[in-house]
Amino acid sequence: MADRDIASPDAAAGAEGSTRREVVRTGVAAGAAAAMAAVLPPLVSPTPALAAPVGDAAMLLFALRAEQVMVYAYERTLASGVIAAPAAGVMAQFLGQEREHVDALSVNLARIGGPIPAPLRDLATFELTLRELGIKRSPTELRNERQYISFLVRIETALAAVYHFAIEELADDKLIQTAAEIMANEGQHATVLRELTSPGNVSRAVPTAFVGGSA
Amino acid sequence: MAGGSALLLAACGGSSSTPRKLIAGNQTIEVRADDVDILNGVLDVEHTAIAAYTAGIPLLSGRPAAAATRFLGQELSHATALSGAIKGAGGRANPPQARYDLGNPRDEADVLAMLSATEGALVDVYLDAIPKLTPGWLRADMASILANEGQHISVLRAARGLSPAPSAFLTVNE
Repeated sequence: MADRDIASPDAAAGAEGSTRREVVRTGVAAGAAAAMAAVLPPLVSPTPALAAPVGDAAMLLFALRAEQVMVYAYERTLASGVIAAPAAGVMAQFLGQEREHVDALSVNLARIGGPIPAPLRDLATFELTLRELGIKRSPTELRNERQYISFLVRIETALAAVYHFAIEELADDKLIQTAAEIMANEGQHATVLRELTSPGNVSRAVPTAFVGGSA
Repeated sequence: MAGGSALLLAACGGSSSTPRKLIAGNQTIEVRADDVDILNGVLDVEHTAIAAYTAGIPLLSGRPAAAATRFLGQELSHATALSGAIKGAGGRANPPQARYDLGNPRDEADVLAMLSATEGALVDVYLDAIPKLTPGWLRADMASILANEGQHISVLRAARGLSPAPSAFLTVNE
């Protein structure tokens, strides 16, 4: 978020938001180019310029790849063997919702002629896309339920930043509305996950009045 | 709250079809009078939510009271941000009404239901407004607030013994 934003709760958050925004913008450009290169002949694979409008297809493509990361993260977490029953139930529900996001984005991306990336199935691609989202931590470092939940919150937060950026850049009204509905759901996920590690701590569960990558 | 602090009115348009040019930092942004009307419609519902939380908190205790108190502060932040954006665009922010018909909640369950209904009305108005707003940054900031309302809904639903995030897409029906 830049200084024009009305939603920065304080200067520090604004600075963080600005950084996240640049991470997302850079990621959209790099990620879209990489994904398009994977599904299109090289000569017709565009490389979006950072200063140029992102375009609906590139934006949806990046959001879709971010959602694939989220799905993989929930799958890996649930398969880790360290998640107890209450948290596992919540995560299984959220995994289902992330898959619904993937489906919705795929349908919309296909509708506007964009390339649909293959499902994310390997750790190397997962970690590469995580870095595009500005997340450097590897899931191989995670040892217990609290660490896994913190990791998931981190990705949910990054996803909210992706949608915040998407809603600014998208041109199609229906896509904007869908992105807003999904972004709000990701915010809910972050809140419920934080509640799992700090029950009853509402200031931790809902830390700021504006969700856009830092909450 | 940073509010619309960076917004400076550079020139005013006179009709709903004439964009108002705003200078924010080193960027030029257009906010139309139509956008101001939309923001005022959202602000009206935020005022209602502030009234609902203010009236309901005395009937709550424990965790629900703590949550509602926090959410009241966040709704006030939303209203401040909206008012700042409206004024920054050269508009006049709608004031709160003198009275609100909030029903007759008598206990904690009634209050939580009232607050949930109020949050649902907020979701409705934000989802309706966001695609209609002209500047992309304004759409994104309204979505930031919408997502926070979604978090409120999750906590309120959990307090009522309901699934906190029942749908993959936040809609009015939650």
